[in-house]
Amino acid sequence: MAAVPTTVTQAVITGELPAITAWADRHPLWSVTVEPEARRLTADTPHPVSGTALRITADLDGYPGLPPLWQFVDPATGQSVPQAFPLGGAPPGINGTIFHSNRVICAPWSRLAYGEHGGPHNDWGGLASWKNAAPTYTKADTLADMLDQIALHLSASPGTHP
Amino acid sequence: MSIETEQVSTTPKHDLLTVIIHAPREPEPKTFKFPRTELVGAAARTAADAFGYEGGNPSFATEQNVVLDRDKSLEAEHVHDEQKLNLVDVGGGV
Repeated sequence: MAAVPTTVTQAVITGELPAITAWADRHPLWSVTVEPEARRLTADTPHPVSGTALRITADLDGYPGLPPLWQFVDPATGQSVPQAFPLGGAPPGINGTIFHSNRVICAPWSRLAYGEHGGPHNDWGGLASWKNAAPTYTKADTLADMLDQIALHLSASPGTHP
Repeated sequence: MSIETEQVSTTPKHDLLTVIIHAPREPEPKTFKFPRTELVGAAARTAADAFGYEGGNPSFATEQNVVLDRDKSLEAEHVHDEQKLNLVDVGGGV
């Protein structure tokens, strides 16, 4: 699957809105804003241990042909800074954290995890096959699935980077 | 609430657990009946299929984000009748 036209991306995002809204309703500590026209998602939540305000953004350009570009950013500036990224800690029953020590979400559904975007994985067959990459790793094909994975892994994070 | 029931016709009614499953990709939950002795992993696979998930490593988590052991039975994981569970993927990262 390759990058898709902007209008298709916007339609897909709009189609996923009810599930995202329902997910956020079930997670009252999360506030999620989706902007189909801008092809952007923003989620705010406190870190479950430190209480630090976290902001997660997703650049959805090319989605779902390409996975989102997820980043933890400083809520005040919108800039990606090391201190905004959670420390890894896998919940019991899960094989490993998605919060990589190089401060990217390390998952097939995360654009920055791929070598072509400077990430650690050159072994996942490239961005275009993201939905079928690394079958033993975290699987999330929709934005709500991805938010749920982030929330689940965040629940075991001991804090944020100093 | 959308109700979809996984009928297990050969299992006596008192040996069945009714569970209400939320999946991230669907606004509404679905209701399933599973044998108490069903493995969490098998039940989660059934639920994942019903929600349209392909592949992955599905399990259940409680509303407190406690992930159930896929290799244990629902009963052994103390799932009770009418319990609400979340469908989660436990594939992990890194």
